[in-house]
Amino acid sequence: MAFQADFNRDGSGPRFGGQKILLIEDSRMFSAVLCHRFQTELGLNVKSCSSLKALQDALAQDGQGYTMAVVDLNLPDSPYGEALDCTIEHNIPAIVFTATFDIATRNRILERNVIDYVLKDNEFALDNLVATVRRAILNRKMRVLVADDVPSARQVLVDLLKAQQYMVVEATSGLEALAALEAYSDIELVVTDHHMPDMTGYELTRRIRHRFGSDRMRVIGISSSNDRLLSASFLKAGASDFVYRPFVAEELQCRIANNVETLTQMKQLRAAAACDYLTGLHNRRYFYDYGPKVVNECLRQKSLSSVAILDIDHFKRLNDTYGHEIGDEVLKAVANRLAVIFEGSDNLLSRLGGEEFAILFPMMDSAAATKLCDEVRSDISRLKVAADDEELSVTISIGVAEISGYETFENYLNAADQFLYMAKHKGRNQVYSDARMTEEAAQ
Amino acid sequence: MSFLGISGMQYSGEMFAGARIILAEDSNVFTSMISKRLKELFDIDVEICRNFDDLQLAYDKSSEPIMLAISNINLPGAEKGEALEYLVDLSIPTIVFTGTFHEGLRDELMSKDIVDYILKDNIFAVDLLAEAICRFLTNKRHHVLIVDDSATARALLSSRLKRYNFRVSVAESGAKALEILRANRDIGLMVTDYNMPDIDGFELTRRIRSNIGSHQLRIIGVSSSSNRLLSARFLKAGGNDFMLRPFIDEEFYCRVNQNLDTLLQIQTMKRERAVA
Repeated sequence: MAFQADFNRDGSGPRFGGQKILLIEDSRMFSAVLCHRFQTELGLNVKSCSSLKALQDALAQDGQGYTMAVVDLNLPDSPYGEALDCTIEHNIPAIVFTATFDIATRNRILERNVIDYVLKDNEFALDNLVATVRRAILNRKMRVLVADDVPSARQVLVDLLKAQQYMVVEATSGLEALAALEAYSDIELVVTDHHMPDMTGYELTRRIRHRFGSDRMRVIGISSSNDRLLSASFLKAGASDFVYRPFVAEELQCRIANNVETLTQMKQLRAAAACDYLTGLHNRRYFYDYGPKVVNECLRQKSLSSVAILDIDHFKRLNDTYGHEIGDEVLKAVANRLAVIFEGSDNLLSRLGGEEFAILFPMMDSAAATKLCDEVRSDISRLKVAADDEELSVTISIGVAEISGYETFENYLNAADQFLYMAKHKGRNQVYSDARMTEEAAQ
Repeated sequence: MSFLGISGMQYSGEMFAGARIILAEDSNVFTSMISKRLKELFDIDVEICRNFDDLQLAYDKSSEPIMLAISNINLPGAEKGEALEYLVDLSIPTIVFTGTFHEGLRDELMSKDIVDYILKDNIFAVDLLAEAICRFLTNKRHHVLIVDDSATARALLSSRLKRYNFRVSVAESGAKALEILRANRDIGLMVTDYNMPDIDGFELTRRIRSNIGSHQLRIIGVSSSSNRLLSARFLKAGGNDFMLRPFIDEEFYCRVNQNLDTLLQIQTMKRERAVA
C-alpha cells in the first residue's frame, strides 16, 4: 500500500543495512531499476532471479536469511505463479508485483497470505513497490494488539496482521487487552472487536484513550454489528478508525497501514523536535521537557540526583582563530565522544546551545557525579580533532550540582552554572561542585 | 499549554472570553460542572438558563448574537422539546446534551440541523461536551474543499460542514479542484466524490499526492459505488479515509474531525521541529 508523496519519498527514511531480499522478475528493465533502488534507498542486499529456475537454484544454494521476496506472478517458466508458491514453501514472506489483475488473480494471491500486491499498471508502480517493501520491513518492529473473544474471528485478524509482518499480541477479552497493554509497553496499535463478554470494544477504546493519546496509540474498532451508529460512537470515543465485518482484506490492511504511517510520521517529527541539528544529541527543549520528569521521579523515590553543565574552554578564541567550520567540527567531535561515553546509561545528555552541554545524573549524588565528570573531562582532554592540516586538542570545564529537594528545574541548572563559573575561575579544565567545595572546606 | 482531548482533539490553549454561549439545562450538577470546565478551559462565562422562560428571556434581553447554545432536550416549561425547536428556529447553532437517547430520537435530532449531540450517560460526558464546544469554536480555522459533480451532493455536504463552522469551498470537477487547491494553500481537507466526468476521485487523489503530502492535505473519498475494492484502491492511491454513501452525519463529522486532528498534530510537531 503505497501512500504517495509521503514522508519517505525523498529517500531520507530508514535504511536496512545487511538485510537480504529476493527479487524474482523477468523484465530486465524493472529488475535493474528495482535492484538499484532497493540498494540505494533501503540499503538492502538484493538477490535477483529472472526465472523460476534461477530462483530454485538460488534457494538450493542458500535458502536462508531472506527477509522477504518480491515476486513477479508470471515468468516464462512459471506462468501460474509457481515462483510465488516456491518462495512460500521456503517460508519467505512475499510481495507480489504483477501486470495482470482480475478478481480471480486477486483471490489466488490473497489465499497465499502474501504481504501485499502491487500492480504494474501505472507510472507510480515502482515507487509503490519500494514503499511497500520499506513498510513491510518497518512493520516487523511494530507491535499490534488484537482483542476479540471469538477464536476464529481473532485468528483471521491475527493472520492478516502477521502476513503484514507485524508483531502480534492476542487478547480474548477487554481485561486481557488492558493487561497486555501493561505487559507490552511497545504496543502502538490496537484492533478491537466490539462484542466481548466482559467489556465492549467501545468501553475498551475509552479506557485506552484515558491513558494514551491518539498521537501514541491508534485504535481500530471492528464489528459485525448492524447498528449503523456504532461506527460513529466508536470514533467519538476516540477510535482512530472503524470497519464493519465482513471486511475486504485490502481495505482493513490499508486502514491499518494508514494509521501506522501516521504514527511513524509523528514519531519522526517527535524525534526531530528533540534533536540538536548539529550534533544529533538531544536538544535544550528535550532536556527541559524530559529532565524535570526524571528529577521528580528521583525525588519521589527519595533519591538524590545531580546535574552538570559542561562548557568547552576558550571556544570563542578557537572559533575566531580557525573559523566557524572548524568550531562546528570541534563541537561535533566533543558531542560524539560524550555520546559514546554515556551510551546505554540512564544519564540524560543534551546540547543546550553554543558550546554548552548539560547532563542529568539520576540516582547519583554530587560526589559520584563529580568523580564521573572528572573522568569525562580527562577523556575529552585526550581527544584530537583534525583541523585542516593540524590536530587540535580541547579541554572542558564542568560544574556539578546536587538535586536533593523540590525546586524549579531552572534553579538546579543555575546552581550547576555557578559551579561551572568557579571551575573556569580556577583555571579551566576542571570539575567543580558542591561535593568538591565541601571537601575543600574540610581540608 | 496545548494538550490532547479524549477524542483526539488538540486544545491549543486559546481562550474565547468574548464568546456568548447559552447553557439551557436544569440540573445543578451539570450546570456547575459545565460552567466551571468552560471557565477553566476557555475563560468563557456561560449564561445559564434553567427553564424555558430563562432561555427566551436570554434571547430577548440582549442583541448580542448567541454564538452557540448547549441545550437539554426538555426543560421545565418545555417538556416536549420546545426549547430545542426554539433554538433551531432562531438558527442558533446548538449542541444537544441529553440523558435520554434512542434511534428514533436521534433521527429526529439530526433532522433538526443541530451541530452535535452528547450523551450524559458516562463519566466523560462533560469532557466530551467541552471538546465538542471547542471544535465548534475552532473549526473556523479549517478550510475544507468539497469536490462533487452533483450540485445536490455538493450543497448537502457544504451545508453540513458549514453547520459545524468550517470554512468551505466547492468544486464541481477534478480540474476545478486542482485549480482551487493551487490558489488556496490553506485547505487542509478535501472531501471528494469518486465518479466524476473529467477526473475520477482516484486519479485526482493520485495527481494531488504527487506534490502535496498527507501532512499538508487530508483526503476523504466518498462514493455510492457498490464495488468494495474501491475503498482499498482509493486508500492505496493516497487517500486518508473513505466512506460509502449513504453515510450517517455523525460518522462523517467524526471522520472529518479525526483527519483534521491528525493534520493538526503533525503540523504542531513540525512547528516544534522548526523552532528546535
